[in-house]
Amino acid sequence: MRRPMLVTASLVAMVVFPILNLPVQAHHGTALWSPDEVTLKGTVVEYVWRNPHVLVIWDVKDDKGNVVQWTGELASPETLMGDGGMTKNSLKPGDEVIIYVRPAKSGAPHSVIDQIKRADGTMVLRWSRQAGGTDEERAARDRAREARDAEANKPKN
Amino acid sequence: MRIFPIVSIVTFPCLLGFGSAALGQAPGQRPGLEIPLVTPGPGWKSCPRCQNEAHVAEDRKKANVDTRPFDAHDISGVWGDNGIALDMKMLPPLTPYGQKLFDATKSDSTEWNSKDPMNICDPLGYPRSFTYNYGMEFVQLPDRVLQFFEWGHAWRTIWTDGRKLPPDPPIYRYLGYAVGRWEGDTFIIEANGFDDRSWIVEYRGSMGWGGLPHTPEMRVEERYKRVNYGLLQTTLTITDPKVYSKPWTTTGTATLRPNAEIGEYFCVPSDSISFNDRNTIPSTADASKRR
Repeated sequence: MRRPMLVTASLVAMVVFPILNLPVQAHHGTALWSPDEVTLKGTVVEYVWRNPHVLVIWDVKDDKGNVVQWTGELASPETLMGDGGMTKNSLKPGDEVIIYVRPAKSGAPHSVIDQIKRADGTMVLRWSRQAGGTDEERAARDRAREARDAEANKPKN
Repeated sequence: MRIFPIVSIVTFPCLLGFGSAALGQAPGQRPGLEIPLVTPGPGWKSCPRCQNEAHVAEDRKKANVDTRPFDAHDISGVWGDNGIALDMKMLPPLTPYGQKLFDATKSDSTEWNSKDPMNICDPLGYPRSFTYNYGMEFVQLPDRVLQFFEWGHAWRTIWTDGRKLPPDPPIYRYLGYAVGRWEGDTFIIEANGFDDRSWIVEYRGSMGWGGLPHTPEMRVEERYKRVNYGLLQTTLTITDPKVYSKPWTTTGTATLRPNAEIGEYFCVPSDSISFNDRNTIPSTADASKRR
């Protein structure tokens, strides 16, 4: 049952690329997460601004209209404030979002989140310490992401 | 009787002024870094983890931490945002009994450290709080030094009133019993009486994935020396001959966070269990392995 769920989610993946700097995290380490980043567009169902880690739950619909509910973890509220100004009011149910995650290796629709944008491209969280690396490494991931998105959005000749 | 209205006339505007200074800035916001010199002062400050590397660098530059005059016998302040890692290269070989204790901590999952006491908010204990704390603050009082840890929002008391360590501690403590003294410019802490349910540190390496154990007989010695206003030199030695074949010493440094103050990172068991149930355990290949 789980593998098809990831396959379904992967259908809406805009980009997939390896993240090289795997961090050591509290609670469970990174062994849970695939090194390949996936982009998931969807609608926020719940935003849990709470220790030990902030959670985002959002619905992702594929081309056929099937909905898969994803859960993604972030760092603690304290750390997220340092990461770039995310607050208790940053998300609410119904918000349309684009979320960059590393999904569970198991295929379950669970993940660690590295970046959140609104559907219009407004940045909610540029990068997350929970997804690992130093500030510079996270900034480099963001630049790579921007370059990829710019390439993908370039008009085709 | 006549003094009261006069005092009121003087104090009321002062209180108003203080109030607006103190309340004008919401917690965690950073307009102008107005109080870079010491942590106390009007206005709410960032918690250590609420700052990123750029914030910290900016604060430290503004406070001139490298050249600022300082009192070598004053180690008060907020130090670091995540503790000081133990020197794993110096980890002594475990005794056969120590190996047995370690084996009992090993995770029953390859995907998360399933037996880590942290998962359910059991106290980290000491010296794990030294190694993982989301920020540590020393506060010096005439007869004791208080050491606050942001992770778990806990404090440890280091008595400096001349008492000796209890030779036979009546109740083992997660943070142990601690006494401190100055030798020259070095503050030395000796501690014993540790509850053996805590781990020294999470371990992932050639022996497997779990936590390094200790017995109640563990002794910990720490040395702190403020080498400049913004830098604390640290040495921590763990001695527990039943588990480790020789003493285990780590030297390191902690940097002052001049514009940070301890926040409130309680580890709330119900929140932690909920988090594990909502994302960690369902992510595992064998989601049935519940703690």
